[in-house]
Amino acid sequence: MPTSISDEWFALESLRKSVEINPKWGLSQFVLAGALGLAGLLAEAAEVCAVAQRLAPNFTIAKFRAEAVSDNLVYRAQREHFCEGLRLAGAPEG
Amino acid sequence: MMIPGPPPGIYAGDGAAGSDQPSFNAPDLPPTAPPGGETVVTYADFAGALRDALRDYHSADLLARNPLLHGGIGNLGSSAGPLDLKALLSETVNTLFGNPRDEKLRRVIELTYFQPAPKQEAVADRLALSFGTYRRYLTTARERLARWLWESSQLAPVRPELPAMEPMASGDKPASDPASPRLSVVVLPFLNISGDTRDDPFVDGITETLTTDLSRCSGVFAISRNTAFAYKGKPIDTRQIGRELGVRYVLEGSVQNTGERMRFNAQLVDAESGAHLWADRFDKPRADLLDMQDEVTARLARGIYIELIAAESRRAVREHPDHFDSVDHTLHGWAAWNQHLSLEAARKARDFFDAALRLDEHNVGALLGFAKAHVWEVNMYTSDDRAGQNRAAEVAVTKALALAPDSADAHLTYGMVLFAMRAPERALREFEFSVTLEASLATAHAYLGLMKVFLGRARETRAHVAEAMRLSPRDPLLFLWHFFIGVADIHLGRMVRA
Repeated sequence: MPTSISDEWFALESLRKSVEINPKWGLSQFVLAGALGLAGLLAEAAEVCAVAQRLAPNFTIAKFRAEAVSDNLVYRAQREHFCEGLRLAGAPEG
Repeated sequence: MMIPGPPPGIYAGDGAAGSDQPSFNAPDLPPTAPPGGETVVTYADFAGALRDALRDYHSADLLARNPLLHGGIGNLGSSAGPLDLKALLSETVNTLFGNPRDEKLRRVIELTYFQPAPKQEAVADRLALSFGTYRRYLTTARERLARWLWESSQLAPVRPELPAMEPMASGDKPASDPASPRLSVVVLPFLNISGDTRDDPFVDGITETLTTDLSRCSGVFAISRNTAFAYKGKPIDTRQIGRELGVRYVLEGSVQNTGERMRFNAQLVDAESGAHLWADRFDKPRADLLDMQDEVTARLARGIYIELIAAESRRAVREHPDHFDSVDHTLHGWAAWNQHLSLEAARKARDFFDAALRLDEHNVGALLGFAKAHVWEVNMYTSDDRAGQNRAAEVAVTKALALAPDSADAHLTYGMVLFAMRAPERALREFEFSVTLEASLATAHAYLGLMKVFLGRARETRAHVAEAMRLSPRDPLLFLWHFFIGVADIHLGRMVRA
């Protein structure tokens, strides 16, 4: 089993791996759903999002946006873009 | 606490007159009452005396008056002199900081005390460190040295007997002494299976470094390597070894050189039942041996630590399910934490740590677990009381840091609390400091990488997280580290392969 990461891996592969190892953690499921949303894989995004909501019932896009970790502009801009993915996956707005 | 005349050290050279027990290092010395004057009584006194001993390293007269010589540390007999103390200090520094990753700590002590420059500023210059960083290294090195020597003279449950001696009649006493420390383990000398004696130093190095790595894990009592090496080449009876050393667990391992690769095997055995609890087996390409040593022992230590916690929490349920003490609750908390972590598991762990703290508010492991469990909820955006949970975590970690200022895990936890408080730059510094204290602390590397995402440096994340995975490829938090890399890739727009 390859345990260390490959440079060939992109976000979806790492997130899928994370969820495969531990399917019980809500946040990785939400983030996978958002990444699938951005990648245009909407059916799978919705499925993953439904699982995520059961695991982390308090998670909302509003909460996610309000609790940004820093004011760094690069980070903020990238994060706003990601919220689009969460919306496309059907995460609750809050 | 008063230290009795003969030192309670784990080495046999304790000065028992007429003893026919072979001693490991020190010559047999006649028992003498401690010379009048100061006797070391508390850890603070001990650490102070050690600091003085380092400062007075080149003055036999001053060393002769040092209370350490009269309190008994390490393998010093009660009539040992300044030269013995000097030898003990330099040998301990070499052993404790023998791993390449602790090179700076060793150099700092050497250049400050053993071959001193006229001024500390000059030492900092020579090591190409800023004065502040140099002072930090010095404090860390001194603290680790003090703790190591203190524990080796205080915590040892029994004096070992050499395995060559008369075997103890089985059934004399219970296999596992209830008084033996819960997470007590001896790392037996790894076997060099291929038999090429040129590999012996490397194989012995694995045993030594693994012992050091384990002794750094919170709550673990690892028998010193000197004692463990007395079992080298002897037939292994784990139950007998457990009785002789007063440990609950025995770790056996081997290294096999197959030419291009080295194969490592290790297994953890319950010394009471003889049951095999855990095993790991893996190959490494025979590249840079020193790098490999570090990687091998970090991986083994983490796996063993996780299994020790699980085994001891099972034992508590088996042996005294109705009266858990603070340590039992803490072990249960960590055992829950080491499962596949979910919101539910994190809350369950938190309840255990909470129960532990109600019984002992100074339990450092429980304080750190309590803080981690609270901020975990915050950091996964599921807290309904962000400010309250952050506050609870901050109080706990501050207290832990006051009790254990040089604990890498305490700094790691403080970093996680700062992350929850949305202070990623300060968190980053804590993670960096945590790694200077303990380079093999995989989780700290991973979080260090994550912080860079929040600082607009997501490109750097992967290398840090990869280091965590190298050090602990089967970690219970592996899922989290893959997640960190995924998050960094999202920020870099690396969504799917084109």
